[in-house]
Amino acid sequence: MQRRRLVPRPDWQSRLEALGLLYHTHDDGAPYWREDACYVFRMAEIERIERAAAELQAMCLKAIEHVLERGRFREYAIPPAMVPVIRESWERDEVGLYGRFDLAYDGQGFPRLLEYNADTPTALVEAAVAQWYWLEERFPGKDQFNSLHERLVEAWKRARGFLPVGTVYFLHQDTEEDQQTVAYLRDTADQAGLATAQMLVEDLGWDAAKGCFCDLDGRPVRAAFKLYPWEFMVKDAFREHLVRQPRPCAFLEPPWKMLLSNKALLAILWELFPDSPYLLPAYLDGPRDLSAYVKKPILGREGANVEIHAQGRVTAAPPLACYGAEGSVYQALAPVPEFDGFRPVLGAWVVDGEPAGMGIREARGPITDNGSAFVPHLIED
Amino acid sequence: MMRYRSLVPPAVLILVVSAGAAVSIHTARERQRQRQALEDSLRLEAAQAVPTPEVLEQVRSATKTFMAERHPELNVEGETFTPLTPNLLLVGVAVQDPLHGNRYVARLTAERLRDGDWGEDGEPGGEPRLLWLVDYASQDKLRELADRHGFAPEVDRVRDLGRGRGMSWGQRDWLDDYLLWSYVYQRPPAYTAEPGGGFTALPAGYRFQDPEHPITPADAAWVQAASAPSGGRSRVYLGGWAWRPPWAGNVFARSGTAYGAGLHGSISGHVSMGVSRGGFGAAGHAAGVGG
Repeated sequence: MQRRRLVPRPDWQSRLEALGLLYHTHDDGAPYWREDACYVFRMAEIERIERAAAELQAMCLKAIEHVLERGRFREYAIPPAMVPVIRESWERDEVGLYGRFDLAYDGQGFPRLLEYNADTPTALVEAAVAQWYWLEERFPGKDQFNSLHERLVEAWKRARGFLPVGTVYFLHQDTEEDQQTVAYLRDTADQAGLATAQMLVEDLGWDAAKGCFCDLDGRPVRAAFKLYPWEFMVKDAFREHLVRQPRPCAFLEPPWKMLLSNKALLAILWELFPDSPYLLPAYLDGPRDLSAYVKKPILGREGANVEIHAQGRVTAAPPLACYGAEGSVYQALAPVPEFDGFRPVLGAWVVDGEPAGMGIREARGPITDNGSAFVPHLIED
Repeated sequence: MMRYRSLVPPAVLILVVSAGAAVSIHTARERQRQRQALEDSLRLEAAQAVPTPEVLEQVRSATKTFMAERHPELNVEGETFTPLTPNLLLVGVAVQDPLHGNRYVARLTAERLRDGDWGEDGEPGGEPRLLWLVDYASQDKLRELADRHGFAPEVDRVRDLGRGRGMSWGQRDWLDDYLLWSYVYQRPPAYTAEPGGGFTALPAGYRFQDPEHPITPADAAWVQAASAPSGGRSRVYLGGWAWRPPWAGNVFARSGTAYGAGLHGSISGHVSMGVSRGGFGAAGHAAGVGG
């Protein structure tokens, strides 16, 4: 694994925009998409990452069964009313569309799990589309760990068997990135033969007379992909409709993903699989004997409120302060390697439970947040 | 060129089709007749029926909840219920205001709505959820309700005929037009809730905002002509729909609180009605880069 410097394509911005990656540059002018470098892997390294994703996914599913059997929902800060909904969706084996394991890896040893974005992972357009076209243009003979698109189409075909007949609505909030991510996912559903529509999540209506969610024209919404986290949904005003029986809408990701998109999972995994080479020690009740650790809110995102503790003090903490009320997990500090002064975090994608590709984001600092940059990769053997 | 086929259907087929159509017409007429008979019986029943204790108890529970939520500072001392239609009641709530040291009667309305499909083709027989919408009884609100329940023209006529007439009850206000209509059109009496439970019918002409001055036959003599063409029955029962709860989806200008109507006079707390939006998206920000 190495970071290789490159000369960017002169018109890289317009090329990305043509692919739907409109958010290639941060608000402060710094590039979010960087192609002045790429990460180069050997096939054996990719296979190790792929195997890690597969084994982590398998461990996660066992962790779900453990939580359901033991009823450990309080540790997840899950509202009691949602528990039967989660159980039902798990027992029905509802399709989980996609997720992204964030891994620390330096090309040596085993990839280590930092966290699992199982509910609303983004950085998808860049991983599935933009870096693929970049590879085809810059390195047409090379390969890339990337079967995201094909697997998403296949996953939608399988999901069709679980979803109510009719249009699948794609719900998102009013940001360019979310809109484009959902537009891409919608495209994969279209290619799988589903009827689709797209709307803002706040425009989703509840028709009390019919007892169903509805679109802006009053048509029933019985199936919806939502790029909006479950932990927000269960706090919003419509939460009462989530626990109705029969369930008025089949949401993707399914409710059981609440047990994976929560960082309490890290502690559960460590408790169940302490010998796994892919895991870092993690606890919910405090750092215990960890001398260097990361304190993460169990429902945090984008690096928000993550604190790094080392040498008995907080060595890094971002300024955001919007998460943490539900509790935190204390995870051993993973050695994220440095390449040219950048620290890459590998996003190993799973689609319908299978490893499907990789995207890499790198940061100057020790915390990968929403100011980090996406860097494409290739396989060179 | 086709030799054995014709574009003209054989005669026998035409006969079969005609016979089928005749049967179909006969069935449709019979269904229409049955539907009309059912509707007539329901209408007649609704025109004469007094509110059941279960309905009164539902309205009472909803009213108590409404007052406790909106006016916890007031002491409720009693309630009366004046049924304008089976689905619309005027509610008088006698309250004592400890802060100002006075007593008065608060005016509310309770409207029964159906919150779901009534049945195929609008026929009765379905099982929609019923709910009570409790709200303040402003003049505009009553006008809206009278329109929705189909008796606004009759109230207008009573109002016009009675204008300028001296009445036995003294101070007359806009609410009396509705009470006078109720009296003239022989609507069921008002009921008062007993402190220990149950309900007692009050004399005809009872004015909950001024119990000492009921409407008398002499007060209504001037306006009896208004009800003569319909034999003292409101037209809403002759051809209207007031016996059937309106669909909540059509109730747009709503400001009250809706309560689900349950069994045995119970209510199920707040319920939402119509289409509401913005129920998701308020709690958090977008998934964002790498969420």
